[in-house]
Amino acid sequence: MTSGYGLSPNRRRNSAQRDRGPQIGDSQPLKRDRRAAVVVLSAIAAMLLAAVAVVLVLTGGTQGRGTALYWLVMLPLAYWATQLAAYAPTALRWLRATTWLAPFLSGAALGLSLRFAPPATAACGVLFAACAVATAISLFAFRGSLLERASTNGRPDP
Amino acid sequence: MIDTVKLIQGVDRVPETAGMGIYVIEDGSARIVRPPKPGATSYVVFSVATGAGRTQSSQGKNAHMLTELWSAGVSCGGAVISGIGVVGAAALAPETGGLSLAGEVLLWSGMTASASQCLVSAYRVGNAATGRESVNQSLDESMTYKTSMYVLDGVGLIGAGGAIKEFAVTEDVLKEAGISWEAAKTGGLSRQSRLAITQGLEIQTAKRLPTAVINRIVKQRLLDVTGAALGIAGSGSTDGGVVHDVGIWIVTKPPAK
Repeated sequence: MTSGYGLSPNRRRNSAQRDRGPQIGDSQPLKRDRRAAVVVLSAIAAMLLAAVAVVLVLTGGTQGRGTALYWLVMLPLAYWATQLAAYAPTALRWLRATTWLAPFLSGAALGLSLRFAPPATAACGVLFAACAVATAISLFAFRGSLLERASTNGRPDP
Repeated sequence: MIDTVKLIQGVDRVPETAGMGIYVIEDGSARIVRPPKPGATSYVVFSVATGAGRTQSSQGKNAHMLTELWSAGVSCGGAVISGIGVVGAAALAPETGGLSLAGEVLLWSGMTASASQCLVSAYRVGNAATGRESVNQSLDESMTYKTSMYVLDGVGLIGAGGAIKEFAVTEDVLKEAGISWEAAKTGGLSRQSRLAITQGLEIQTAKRLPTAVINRIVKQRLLDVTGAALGIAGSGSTDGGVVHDVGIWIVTKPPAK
């Protein structure tokens, strides 16, 4: 039998992990993976650019640093980015969804700026373009990365 | 420059002032925006000092300078602590196993963002000190400047978030091990405590870290959270350095120019 039952608990766990590949929650293999870092950092950049576009529209293109709206947008972003950079399981499960959300948010901000904050329209346009590029890099790097394997392994079997 | 359309809409929206004339004194220059409508005889006078006016009072100038100095102090203090934090984290890497690649990039980005904001603040202080407030004013009105500051703020906040998270984890671990921050920072620790802290901080390089290393890690966490607090204070207290003083009066005839 090669099931590994004769191994010590640690070796049995390691052996099982090798067979299955990395899992969500096993952050150690991800920590040194460059591709995973590219995925995470691009996703954070995309969401940051989208958040800035949203803040610009909410403040009507005026100086809004330090206002309640600014904190309302920026604090959840900082929390999510921190979780993602630490490869927290929940942040990883929602990684692709949140990455896709970023260009939609910045696009919506661009659309709204045309109507409600004309001075911010050019800036929102640049932010939207940069956000789309960052999203594309993140999603491209995600394919075939350890993160993709981890997220696939983390799902329950059908 | 005041948006006169919005001003007129604002005055007409208030039943008591609807139809009144509108007179604006902006940074010393006065103008009638609208004469009173038929049936109304009074004027609403708006006196606005944006900080860029030629007739700005010395009090206004001092307030401006203090705002810029406060902003520069907080930004540069945060940048220095952030720099020490990055060096400290690198020095601790052999014992702690280091950060993830993404974490390292965010740490360095946070330090770079703080340093950039410090340089910008120093430039603004220089402008305020040499009487070139108009340069600061035009910066505040520039969308490129505002967007760049938002992005730098965001990068700094993300770095601060990481430091606060690490601090919270360390707090939980120390509480669970029944050790105070003071003891963990400077005191000797029992074998059992060192084992609990090493496991709690998920350090993979050693089963039980030496006391000296734990002392350094705890000091590092305190330093990081101080830098984070300064960064957040800097973001929260900055409004672009613009001093707006607005006075509103209702008079029966426009003031003499």
